[in-house]
Amino acid sequence: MTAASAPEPAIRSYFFGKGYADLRSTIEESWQRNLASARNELDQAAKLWPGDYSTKAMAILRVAAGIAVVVFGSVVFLVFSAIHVVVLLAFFLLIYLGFTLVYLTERAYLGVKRFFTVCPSCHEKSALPSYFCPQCGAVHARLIPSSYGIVHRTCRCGQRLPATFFLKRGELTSKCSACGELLARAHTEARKSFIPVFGGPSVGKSAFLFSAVQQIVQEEAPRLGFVPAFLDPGAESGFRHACQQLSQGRAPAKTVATLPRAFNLSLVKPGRSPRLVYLYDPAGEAFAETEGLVLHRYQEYLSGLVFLVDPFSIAAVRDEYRDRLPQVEHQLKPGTLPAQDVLSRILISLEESFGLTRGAQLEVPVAVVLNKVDAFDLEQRIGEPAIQARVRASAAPLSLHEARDQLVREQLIRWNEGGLVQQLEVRCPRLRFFTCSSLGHMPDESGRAFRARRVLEPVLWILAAADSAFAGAAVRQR
Amino acid sequence: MSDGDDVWGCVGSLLLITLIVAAAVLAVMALMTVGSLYGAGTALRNYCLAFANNVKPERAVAP
Repeated sequence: MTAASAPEPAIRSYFFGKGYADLRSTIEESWQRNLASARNELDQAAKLWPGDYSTKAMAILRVAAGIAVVVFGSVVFLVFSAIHVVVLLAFFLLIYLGFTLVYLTERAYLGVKRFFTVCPSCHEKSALPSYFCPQCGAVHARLIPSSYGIVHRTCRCGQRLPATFFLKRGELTSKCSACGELLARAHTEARKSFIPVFGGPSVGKSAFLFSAVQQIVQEEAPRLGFVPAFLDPGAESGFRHACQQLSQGRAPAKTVATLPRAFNLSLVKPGRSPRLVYLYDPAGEAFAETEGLVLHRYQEYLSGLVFLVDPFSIAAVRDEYRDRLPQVEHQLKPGTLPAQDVLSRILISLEESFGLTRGAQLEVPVAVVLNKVDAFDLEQRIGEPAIQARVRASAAPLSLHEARDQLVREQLIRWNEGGLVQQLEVRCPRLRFFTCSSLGHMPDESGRAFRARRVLEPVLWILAAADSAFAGAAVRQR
Repeated sequence: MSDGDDVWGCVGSLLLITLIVAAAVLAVMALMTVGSLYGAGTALRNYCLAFANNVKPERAVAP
């Protein structure tokens, strides 16, 4: 468990390190002292021997004493050495059992709580981060119950550090062991959900993400009794800036980073484990090739994925609206990458780098979201009015999401995207279709505030599938 | 001298010899006991001194 690990900047338990060096020194010195004592007796005897009978008798006694030191002294030496070894080994065993027990209890507890560390920057997933000593800043890469201490350890500087979750280890400053990024406590000690928003360039991923976060922060989190917070001041200021842009009728700036930093939203509710949502917004250009996707390591531990589709990236849609599209093309910014290409690259990336067996089904929920339904008459065709009409017209009882699934699926097939639908249905057994408008209306010069529509539904559906704490919200959204 | 005097003389001699042998054995045993205690005590003292000289907990280094 810990024996093979690199040395830590801490003082190892006496019974795991120095005790054995001390044992060796003690045995060596004790033996040398015994020899010296015996030699001393023999030297004294040699000095006494030339004298009269009484001194000769004393010399004989000295020789006997020397022999006694060698014979009986060696026996005592062996007995005491053995006792020393046994005491050392007994403490070694006791401490080993102690820290193993605490370590296993901690692992089990963290496993039940589903606590582990995920770096928002490099996306490395690990059991624990590295912790800093608050006094000297030394980095403790494995601050766990170990041979350095069962529940505490002493840093080389003398500072006592908690070595377990149960003693509030999370209050120490920590960093990602892989990239060195400073981490918050919730990056480890919170139940996490991981939701990337995938889609080609210009499908509206950033607007979708910021609008969804805005609705979670302002509406859904308070409704569920959660207090929302941002872990990263940079993310918070980015979010505030995006909200301001949306309120002024300006679309958020395009994402440039093909490998995104996670957008962390912390949700805290008294009496429950804290929740931390990781949202990812990679630039659409990331999906232009499969090779770069290998760096998107969050694909290894997805809670679900939002697959955003711009209807205007579909040739049949562009053809349908060819007479009106040129006038609004600048505002609409139709997506340039076919949705099926994006999906294929995601699946290839998952197969090549993230353990998905070739041709196997993706077990996580996949929300296929048709964005920009505010354009032209799409809302009437595949938006809420159409869904309500479908429910009313259905002879058999039909839920809203079933009606939506049917409607969007049929429409995609009519738009010659049968291949995309088939690929989704074959590879994604937990599939749902959604429609939304991440801006609420077409961008124009009026400065009218953007108000997203139905961006929360797919996110809440995935969150509810990953974590029962959000189940109530998802039910209400239906 | 009578035969009875010879018998008592023999018994006395035997007792004397037995006493001397027993005293010698006891003396040797006492010597060995003292010797073994001395040897053991010396070794015990030596082990304790070596223990005190060598067994010390590891100290932290001031930052």
